Amino acid sequence: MKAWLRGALAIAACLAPPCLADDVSARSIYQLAATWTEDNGHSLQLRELAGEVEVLTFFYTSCEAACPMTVKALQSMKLGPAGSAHARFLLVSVDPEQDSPAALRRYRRTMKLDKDRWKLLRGPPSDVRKLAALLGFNYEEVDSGQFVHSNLVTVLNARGEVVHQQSALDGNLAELAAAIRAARTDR
Amino acid sequence: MNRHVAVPGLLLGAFASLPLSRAENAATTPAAACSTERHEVFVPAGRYEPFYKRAERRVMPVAPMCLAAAPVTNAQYLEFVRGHPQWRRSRVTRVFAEETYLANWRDDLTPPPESLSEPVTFVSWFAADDYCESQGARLPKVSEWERAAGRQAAARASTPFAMAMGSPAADLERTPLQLKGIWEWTEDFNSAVVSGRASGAQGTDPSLFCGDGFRAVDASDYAAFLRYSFRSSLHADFTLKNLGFRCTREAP
Repeated sequence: MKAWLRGALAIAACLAPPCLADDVSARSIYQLAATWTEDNGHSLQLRELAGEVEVLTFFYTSCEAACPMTVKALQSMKLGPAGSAHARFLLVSVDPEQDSPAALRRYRRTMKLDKDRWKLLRGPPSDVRKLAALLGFNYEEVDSGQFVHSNLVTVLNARGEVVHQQSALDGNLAELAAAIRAARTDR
Repeated sequence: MNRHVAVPGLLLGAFASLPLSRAENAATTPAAACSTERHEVFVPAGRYEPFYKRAERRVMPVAPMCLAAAPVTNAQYLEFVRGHPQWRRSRVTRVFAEETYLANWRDDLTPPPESLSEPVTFVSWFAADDYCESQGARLPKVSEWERAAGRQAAARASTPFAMAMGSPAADLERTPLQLKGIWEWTEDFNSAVVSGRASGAQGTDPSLFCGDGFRAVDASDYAAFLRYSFRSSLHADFTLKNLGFRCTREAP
């Protein structure tokens, strides 16, 4: 990409503060140029998330076992009221064919996911695979609409760098909360 | 005697010798679909038996494809790097390729002169993926790679390690399909949920592949076991001396 264009994009991504003053770190997953769609229909580049601590996990709306348990475990964390010392939760679908924005909206309602704190994303399958590859998240469609996948939760600092990964299903949410607090102070 | 019949349980290799009416039909309109200019091999429809047993899925159909006859060479990769400066060694973004990216090149645009026609290695999955996309192609999936090159070759005079780099399926033996003694990236190398890192940071996942070998479809296929173990140990930014790639595309 031409330097001036890259600069223009960086500025465009910075219209909504807080954001990175300079270009994205070479170790940031926000280097991934992909366009995601939120459940409200808005499109999103990952680098627009810079400036906040994000807790990212993959899921799919028709998942009946691990995903809802992971989401509920994350919901149960005591992180203070939304808006103050914020950590956002990102749910990225591994089943973009089924998980339309409407399906994501239904999931938000069913799981009672706070609008300020949770973002639900779908993207092109090749970008989902790239993001999963960046994070070391493994998944495989084993039957139409059913996936085998790992239960990895990733904490991203304000620059989009991976600072912590663990399973949310092993009960050790204190460790996850500590990683989120540490990421908030690391700005 | 047909060795697929002689040795029971050679499931990964055996599909290639089974009668496949779809493959035979496809073979009547065959290779014309693929490009000789691009050195592609027409791979007829086939089947793939996953190495790990699962109740939900046993045998998968594999669609016909135009598979590159050989891995991408240093010379070919050089052309790509010229046109895609973000993949020059000095400019590559660290998150997409670790420090040893193109480590055997002398500088950004100088592969070892004696290795121009050898497979490019020291390339990450992201680089391989982008290369194939630039060619209007993509990396083969595990199922596609195994269908074309994962024939069990127990009867061959070869070390298990060399065998693990692949043997052409029986119906591809007379094609120019070349396996060059390197590992190769696959699009969904990270599909098998067997690695400790992916299942949580604790590394105590009971389905780690070592403890899970007994669930393999054919535990005697040591070459396939090596490939699956190797793939599941990879991260997408890895750049290794003996890991290259080739591209494929759906047969038109």
